[in-house]
Amino acid sequence: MKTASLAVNRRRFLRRLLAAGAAPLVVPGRVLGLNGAVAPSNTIAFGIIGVGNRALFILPNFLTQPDVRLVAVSDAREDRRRAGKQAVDNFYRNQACRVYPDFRELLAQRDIDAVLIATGNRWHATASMFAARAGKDIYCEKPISLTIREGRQLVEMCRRHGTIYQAGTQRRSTESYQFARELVRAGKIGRVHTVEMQVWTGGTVPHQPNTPVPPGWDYDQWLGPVQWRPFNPGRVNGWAYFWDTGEGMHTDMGTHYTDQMQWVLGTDDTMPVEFETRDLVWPDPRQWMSETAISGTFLCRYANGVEGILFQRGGFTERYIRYLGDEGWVQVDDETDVVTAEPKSILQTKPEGGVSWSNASAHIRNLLDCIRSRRQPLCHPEVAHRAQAIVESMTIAARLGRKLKWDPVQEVFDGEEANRMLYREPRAPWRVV
Amino acid sequence: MNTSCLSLWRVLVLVGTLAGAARAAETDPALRALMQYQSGADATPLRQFEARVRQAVDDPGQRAALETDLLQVLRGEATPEARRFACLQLAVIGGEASVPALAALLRSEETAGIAAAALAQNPAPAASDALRRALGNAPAAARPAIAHALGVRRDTRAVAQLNRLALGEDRAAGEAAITALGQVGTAGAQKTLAALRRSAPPEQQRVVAAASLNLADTLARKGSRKAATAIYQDYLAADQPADLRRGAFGGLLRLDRDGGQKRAIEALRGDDAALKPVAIAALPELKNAAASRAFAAVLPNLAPAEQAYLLQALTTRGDAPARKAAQDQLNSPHLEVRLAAIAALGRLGDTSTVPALARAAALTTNVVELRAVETALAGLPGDEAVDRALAAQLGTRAAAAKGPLLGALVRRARPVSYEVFLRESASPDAAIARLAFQGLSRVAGPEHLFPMLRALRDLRAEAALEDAQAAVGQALRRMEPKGQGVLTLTTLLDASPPARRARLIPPLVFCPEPAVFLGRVADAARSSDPTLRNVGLRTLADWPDPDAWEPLKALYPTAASETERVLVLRGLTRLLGEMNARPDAALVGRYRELLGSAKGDNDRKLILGALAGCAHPEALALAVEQLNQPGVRAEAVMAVKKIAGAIKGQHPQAAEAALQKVP
Repeated sequence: MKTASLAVNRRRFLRRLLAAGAAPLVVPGRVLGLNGAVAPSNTIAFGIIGVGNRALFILPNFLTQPDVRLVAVSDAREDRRRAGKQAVDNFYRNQACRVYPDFRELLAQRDIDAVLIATGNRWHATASMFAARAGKDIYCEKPISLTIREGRQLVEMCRRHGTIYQAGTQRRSTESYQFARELVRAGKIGRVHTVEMQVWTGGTVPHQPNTPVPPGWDYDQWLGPVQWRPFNPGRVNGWAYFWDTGEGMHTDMGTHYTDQMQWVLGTDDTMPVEFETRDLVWPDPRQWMSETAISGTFLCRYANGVEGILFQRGGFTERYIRYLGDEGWVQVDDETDVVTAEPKSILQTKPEGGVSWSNASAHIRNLLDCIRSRRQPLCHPEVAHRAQAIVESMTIAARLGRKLKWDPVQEVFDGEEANRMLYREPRAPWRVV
Repeated sequence: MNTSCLSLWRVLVLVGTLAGAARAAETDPALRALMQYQSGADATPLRQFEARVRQAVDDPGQRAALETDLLQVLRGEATPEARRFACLQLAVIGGEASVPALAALLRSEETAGIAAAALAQNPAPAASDALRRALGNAPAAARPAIAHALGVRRDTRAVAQLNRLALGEDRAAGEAAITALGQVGTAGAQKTLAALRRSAPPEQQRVVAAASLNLADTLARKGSRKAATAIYQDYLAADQPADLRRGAFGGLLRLDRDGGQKRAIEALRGDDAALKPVAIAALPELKNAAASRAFAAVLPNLAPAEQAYLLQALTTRGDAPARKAAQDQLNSPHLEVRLAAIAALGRLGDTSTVPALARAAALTTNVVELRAVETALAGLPGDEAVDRALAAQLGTRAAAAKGPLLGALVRRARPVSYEVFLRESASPDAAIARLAFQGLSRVAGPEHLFPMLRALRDLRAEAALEDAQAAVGQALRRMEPKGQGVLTLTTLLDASPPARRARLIPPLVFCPEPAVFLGRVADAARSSDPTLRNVGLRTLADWPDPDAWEPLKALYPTAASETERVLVLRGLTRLLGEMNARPDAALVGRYRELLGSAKGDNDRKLILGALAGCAHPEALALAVEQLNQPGVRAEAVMAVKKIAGAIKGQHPQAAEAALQKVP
């Protein structure tokens, strides 16, 4: 026996021990996919619509896919077009990335197969429908829409055009969330009666006067489907907190968790039937120009009695989703990807490794594989629409200050005003269907 | 009441309403504030009117008053932002009374968009009339919005006007009209769209296609199968783009009375690759119980990727033909098909599937496939019967094929597998032994501690030792602090020869009360057996708490070799570093003692590195003393700066004085 083989470093040992607590795989883990060189004729050419912070954050996940080629960027802002081109060109070490101020020009390019849509939320559904109409496949950041009706239009548009569409609700491709789902679906916490979700406290935007449009901005294009109003820095930079551009944090982030709720409960083809809100705290209109709630509790109830409770409160790092059953609970902490549960013993089967939701590579890989096979990706339009419609129904309940009943088949509420809030007519010429 | 009387009555009502509204604007400060609203100002008026919308939902009286006030915003001297706001509210609560004022806004290209959006949602038939009337005379820039609104309202009486726009020169208005015709869907609209499919310029064909397919869906829903089929067939033509062909084919499948089964099977038998994924996608929704069998029959004729997709679709049906198809494809020559079959069986199988999957594992060396088998077996529906079947297969397989089976048992983590794990822990194959210990760590209870420790002691696969120790550590963490386990462990340590005892030493740090075993580890570190001594020293050097200070310090002067001496020194230094959290004079005394016994500059550098984290004035003084040692001056300077920085709040003079002495 060699002495060296007995050498134990406690920290290294501890790492091993922690690994032993996780599930071992007999086969070394390896990401499936197309490794090695890919013939140019076999690459999927992508264009980017909207090259802001989110696009630049997720871009490496596309660039590092062996069978993807980023060939063009589009944005209403000149500085962002430049930054997007620079990021793509730097990766490929050339100057080949094309730039289009108007995304319709990008969509008209026949050598582009698919698009990454990472605009502001107001554009997501409209740009997606333009892309589907142009015959492109799509990866679109969440939320996929800002009204329930346009979400349904997107679903139908993709179906009619045979579009492969992946919504950027990438937690379905994240191991921690997959594990939590396995536990719930395997009955480890008994019958689920409640799903708790939490997003952080919403922001506020102080009053500020309108200003001239900054140089390099095509403000009309920036607004897109939103009815025109003057350029205002507060509104433009804080778009997440205005009804027609963002709908607030429970809509923007909440859709990640309602998507998980739907997936775990196995209700992708339906939705809750009741919505209401409680404890809403609104911005003081004397101080703030922002419109959406600062904090509050958004509730929904499925036909089988399961309740979903979405809290908008606390800090950024306090995001979570928790499934409560009559024999225990399972929680995923969104900031850390840590899964906790009661009883703790059910965590013993947790698989080894796994990357955070912040790495969207697996989700993008799923899209690419589906573009090739023409299968439906994990977050195809129907499931993405249902998840999004839940938070939008909560929004309507909040704005009307009343409890709403919902028919998930006909997709109508029990009140006329609520039904008229299913849709906001986009500004011409941005209606697609 | 005839039409002219009705109109007169409406005019009178309107005049009355207007007069009332004008008075309201003069007297109502909230309304006046709303009309003057601009971004940057107090938004209270907006929020007040939104609150009134909420109140108006259940109160028709309040609703009428609110609508009147909002109309005053449209008619009076209001800012553009106020008008926009009013239109957005009227889109939700506006009725027939809103139509004239909104119609007036259609005449201006600045306000036509917000007015058309509100009219699009207005339930009054008069809204359609207003939009139609406006379309002919509106400025060019306003026409797309008006055409869209007519489309939203599915206004059949607008078709003639929309037809003219669709066929006209104004491209923006034309595209809006084409889209609207796709929604309206009358015979006239169908005819125009059919003409455009043949004659529209290429740059407009995508708009025409979207409208036509939308129309076809609407016709299909209404039961106009023939008309819908004609449109779908147009886009199914071979010269159409693949995405449109797929969309049209899907439409035809949905139209078929059998859900598209016959058409889909035909497509799968054919050679049109663009349509096959759509045909496969139809399978899960088919009501016919025989559908799985029919689709499975064509599976062998498909390309590998299509076969894999079809297996996935069959899995969602979950019936016997689906399971049989998956089992048949376990022998496919194509990896992606086998992977799909394995995944399908993981969902559809049961105890009886275990031998087939075990055989699949035995036939491959591909790691992806082996992992797929393991995953399928791990998730196989069924209780302990599946685990027993897996255990039975393990007994019949060569070592190379055992991995996925054992891995699946580990992931299933059922107590029934304990004996299997214990047996396999003695395997000479490191991968198998490693898995077996991981399984033991999951299922072993307190009563299994002794056999598990004995298995570690007698381990045959040397390469699995660290993993086995980690697994035992996991089990030891669950041990009762003063329970039977302590006695068990002590007995086994005493009864084992030195080289075997060495294997049991490292996991001791994970006992709930490691101090119980500190003496035994120290004994090991003093052993004459080099293996046991080395393990004991290293375990002691990594001990989780300062209790190890004294035994380590005692070992320091008597180390048998320079390697062991350095090992002990590093352990001592690490402990000092961990004790820095509570710095006091006693701790500094330990630093001084250790520095005093240092054998050279390398030792002193190591100790100074730890000393730098000791935020205590005496530590600072000790670091300053080391400035005189040329061989460690750089490390001493760094320590002085760091300690001075940490204590300058409480001891500013000492910190300042020390900093004066360093560059």
